[in-house]
Amino acid sequence: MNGEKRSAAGFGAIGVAAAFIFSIAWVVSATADPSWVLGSSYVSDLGVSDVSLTKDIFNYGCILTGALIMIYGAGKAYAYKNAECASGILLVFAGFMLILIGLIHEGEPYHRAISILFFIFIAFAIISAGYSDGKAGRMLNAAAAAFAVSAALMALFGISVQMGESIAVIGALAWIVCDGMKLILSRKIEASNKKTRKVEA
Amino acid sequence: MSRPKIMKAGLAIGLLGGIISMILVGYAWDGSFQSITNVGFSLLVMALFFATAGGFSEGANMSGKSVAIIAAVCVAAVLIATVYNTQFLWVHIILMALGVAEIMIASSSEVIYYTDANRPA
Repeated sequence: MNGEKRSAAGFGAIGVAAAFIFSIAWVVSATADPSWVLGSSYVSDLGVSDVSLTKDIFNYGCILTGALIMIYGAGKAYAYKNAECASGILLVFAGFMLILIGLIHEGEPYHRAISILFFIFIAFAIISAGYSDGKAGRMLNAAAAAFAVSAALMALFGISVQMGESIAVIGALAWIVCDGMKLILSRKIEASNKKTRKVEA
Repeated sequence: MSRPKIMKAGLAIGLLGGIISMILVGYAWDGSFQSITNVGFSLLVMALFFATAGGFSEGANMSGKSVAIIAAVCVAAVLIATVYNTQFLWVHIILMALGVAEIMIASSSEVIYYTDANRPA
């Protein structure tokens, strides 16, 4: 596989788990707080909710997911090279920012700067992995990256900042699932291709 | 090398998506200034569906990989149009399914190979 140094299937599974954990934390915390409305409230509003269940699940969810994304990014950087490695390093930074979002809540100093940095790191991680996928011919992954980035930008400039933020998080989660699956399946695909080439020879 | 049959399906799906979006443009326009955003989103979706269909046509001057990216941006535009205007939810869901089918077709190695090999110089 183009750009891959060693297997990262385990790290891919961690990425997929991170996306699922954050999705569950987000849905559960948003359901528990009826005042939170998709597209009208910021995602970070859940971290300072009046409902303690919402606040706790969201903040601990951010910390846990951030840590998992850091491990996932480190694994990606370890297993791949070039743009894919850069994407892994950017994911480590994004994961760290997500941990900080769980610790430094909305309204506290630096929260806004941390949130913006999180979105910048994740956007560049997606773009750099999308570039690498496109170059290597993994077009489904490249399409997932293009979908995540363009949907977030369209919602941000076409609807509202709150909706743009939510769509960006949904897009990033969908991309992490696709990218994690790529890491899980990459060695199996390579092995199956080798087998086919052997049979053909 | 003959044109893969799946490309003809991609062309048909792209044209169908474009025509449905064109009908949505007509429905979205109610003469008011507020309806311009709905019209704009439908126009964007229509343009992207027709662009994807164009990528599957014979002698398209587009690299094989670009078609999948345009189809992905098309699905993103459909998603945003759905979120912005839930008036025709089922139509938007159908458009999204058509867009996903376009991505799947465009990602096929057979299609990428044929498109790149038959690109006009």
